[in-house]
Amino acid sequence: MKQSYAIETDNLTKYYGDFEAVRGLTMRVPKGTITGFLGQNGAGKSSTIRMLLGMSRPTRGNGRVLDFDIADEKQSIEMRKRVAYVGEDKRLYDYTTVRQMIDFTKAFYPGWRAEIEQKLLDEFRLPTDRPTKKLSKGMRTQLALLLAFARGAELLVLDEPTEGLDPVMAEKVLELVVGAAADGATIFFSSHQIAEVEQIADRILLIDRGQLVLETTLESISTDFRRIRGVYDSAPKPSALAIDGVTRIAVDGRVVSVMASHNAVTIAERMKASASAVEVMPMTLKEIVLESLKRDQA
Amino acid sequence: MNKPLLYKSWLETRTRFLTAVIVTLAVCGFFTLAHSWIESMWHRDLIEHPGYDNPPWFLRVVRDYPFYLYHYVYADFFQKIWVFLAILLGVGGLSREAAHGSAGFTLSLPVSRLRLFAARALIAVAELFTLALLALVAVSIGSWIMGLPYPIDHGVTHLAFLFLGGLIFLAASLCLTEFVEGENTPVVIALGGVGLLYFVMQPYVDGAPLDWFAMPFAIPKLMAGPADVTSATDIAWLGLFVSLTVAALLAGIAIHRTRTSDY
Amino acid sequence: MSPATRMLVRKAWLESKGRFIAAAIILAILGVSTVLRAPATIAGWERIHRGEQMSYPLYVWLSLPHGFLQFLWIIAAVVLGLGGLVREDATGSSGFTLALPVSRRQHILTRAAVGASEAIVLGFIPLLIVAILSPLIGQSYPLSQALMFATMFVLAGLIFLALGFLLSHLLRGEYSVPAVALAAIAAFYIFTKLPRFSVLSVFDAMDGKKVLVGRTFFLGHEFPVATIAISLTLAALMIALSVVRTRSRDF
Repeated sequence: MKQSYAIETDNLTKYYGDFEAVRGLTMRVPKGTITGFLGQNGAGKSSTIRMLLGMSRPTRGNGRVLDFDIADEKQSIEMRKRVAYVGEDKRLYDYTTVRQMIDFTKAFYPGWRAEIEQKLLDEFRLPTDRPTKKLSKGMRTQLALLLAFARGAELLVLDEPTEGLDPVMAEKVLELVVGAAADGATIFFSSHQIAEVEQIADRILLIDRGQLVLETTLESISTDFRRIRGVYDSAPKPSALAIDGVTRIAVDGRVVSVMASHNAVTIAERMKASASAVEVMPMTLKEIVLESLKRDQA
Repeated sequence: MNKPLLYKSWLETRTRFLTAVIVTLAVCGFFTLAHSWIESMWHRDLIEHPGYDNPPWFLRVVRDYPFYLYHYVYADFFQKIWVFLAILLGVGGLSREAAHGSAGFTLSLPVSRLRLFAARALIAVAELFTLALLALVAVSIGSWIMGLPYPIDHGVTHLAFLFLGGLIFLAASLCLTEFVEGENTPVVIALGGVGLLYFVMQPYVDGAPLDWFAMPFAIPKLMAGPADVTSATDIAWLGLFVSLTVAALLAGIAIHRTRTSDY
Repeated sequence: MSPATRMLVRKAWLESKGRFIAAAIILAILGVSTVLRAPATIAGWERIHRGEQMSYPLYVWLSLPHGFLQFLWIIAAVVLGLGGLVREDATGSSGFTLALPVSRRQHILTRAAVGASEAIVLGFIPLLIVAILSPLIGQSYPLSQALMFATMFVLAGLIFLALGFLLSHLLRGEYSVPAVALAAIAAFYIFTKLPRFSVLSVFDAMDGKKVLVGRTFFLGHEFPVATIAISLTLAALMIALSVVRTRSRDF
């Protein structure tokens, strides 16, 4: 059965003047998954999200969100009826109160979940008559999340959803995300908090300098990704270790460190043939991200 | 004065200021370079409509070139534009930064709020003076191109009255933005207030004798200065003093508000 | 009207409410001042123009449609046109707005409609006040004339609202827009003083200078239809240009 995707892009490219912010990005986000969209500052995450939601036009390439073409205005409007977006800024309308913001947003989504609205108003303890401009950063984030979760959307696009929140609130938000996914929504979120991503995500997409450098599942990280370290009598040629599964080789004197995305057993066997000692270790998501970004820089 | 603060204030206002420069040069240039065309229209009007209700200043404007410039530049058209520009150059400040989210950054700098205000005010005053000076330069050069005599002492006197008499509007704008929230509401209130002031004062600008109750509001007349500039001209020192004092008071209120507000 | 459209209207109202109320108060004061000032101003005028009389309708015409109402209302109209998606982008809320299931065109047209409605209401305030309060000073000003002048005034003047509107979709700075609008209006004013182009004078169309009935300073059956039509067409073009510009813009 053909898998359906919430987000599909094909060679998506965006230039701002001479600067290529997104370079031939091809990625798939399956429906019903929680996907972490990672990358350094300036990697092209926000540019990608803006294109997906129709806020900016791709220079080249194409994309579909919930099977709607992102470049077609009419389809984009239809798509946005089914999508909830929380931006990095989380700025709302300064001239409204909390209640007015909720009432305003509610009017656009017939599937508005009043029970979620009330639940989150109670949990976040948001004062409904307070002007949004007088909310603290954390409360603005909470309001923005309330407006997103209460829409009953099929896809939630969240940019740094826990930024500005205390640990207790951040944990509640992660529970909400998982709850929404359990209800059938697809979650596509970007975050710099690797621990949070590890906690809830099914899949990871890592972008660097506008290109996809890593696409994997959390399961694969725990079952397949390994760091294999070998100590040699004399420094070996890295080309000798260029076999399937090797994604990075670092040579430091007589120590060779290999990052393997799969096939770790075979790689370790090959290294044992000439190394005096070989060690195989699991890798955390953070280590994989840092190594992947180093690889791209190398 | 902290140069970076001055530079920051300049960056904040430069687009408005450069637009104001263009407007100033265009308006003042027009009234000089188009004088002969305007004059021909008047002469035609006088012939075709001899019974027309002309304002009291009209006949003098037609025959007296320095008075023509005095009326259109310093007493009427350009004066109103200059006041409008004074208000636009005065809005902004910490209240606006608070609305946009950068007030925290600015207030965390190791400078007093007084210095922040002073930098903004100083740049605005410099810009306003530059506009008044450009008006003088434009009418002087334009008159020279047209071969029409325009005594420089007239221009300098009127520049002084326009600038010194009109600082009160800049001060009002600086003050208003500290009290009124919103991006555009202070502009509407300031310009509306100015409009009403001109409305009340228009008959007196046109030549009616000043009633006692209108005296406190006679800023447009003050800014226009004396119609004739001679060695015997009576300078309205008291008026200038009062206007500058009120401007200083308004600035003081704005400073107090800035220093005591929570952002 | 769908709930979504109602909310867009409400948003536009909330966004502009402060400016509208401030302008309404100022124009109301203008209307009241016009009435209260009348005896002194007319007496002063008659002192200067010995042997001549100034009629009340002339005074009202000089004070309002031909006078300060133009100046104040044009400023208010330009300021009511400010805001919009470009401004929201500068202040950080455009992401939220653009993520709503509404076309950019609908955002813009809703805001234009609300701005136009507000500008129209403002144009009526001072003239209606004059018509209502004139008996207080022993004068009368027909309500029908107030309504006719106000209608002609706002229809011809909507071009200034559209100018502020268009500029706010082209420029990011919140004070750059009124500054550039002023420059454009001043240039337009001077341009329409040229005899060849005086027919395009929106200012003359706003005050009905060329269609007043004799020396009554009232309106009759004639209206500056051509100028109003051109003005409204240009206003519509500017709004359309705002839509086109915003639709192709990256946020």
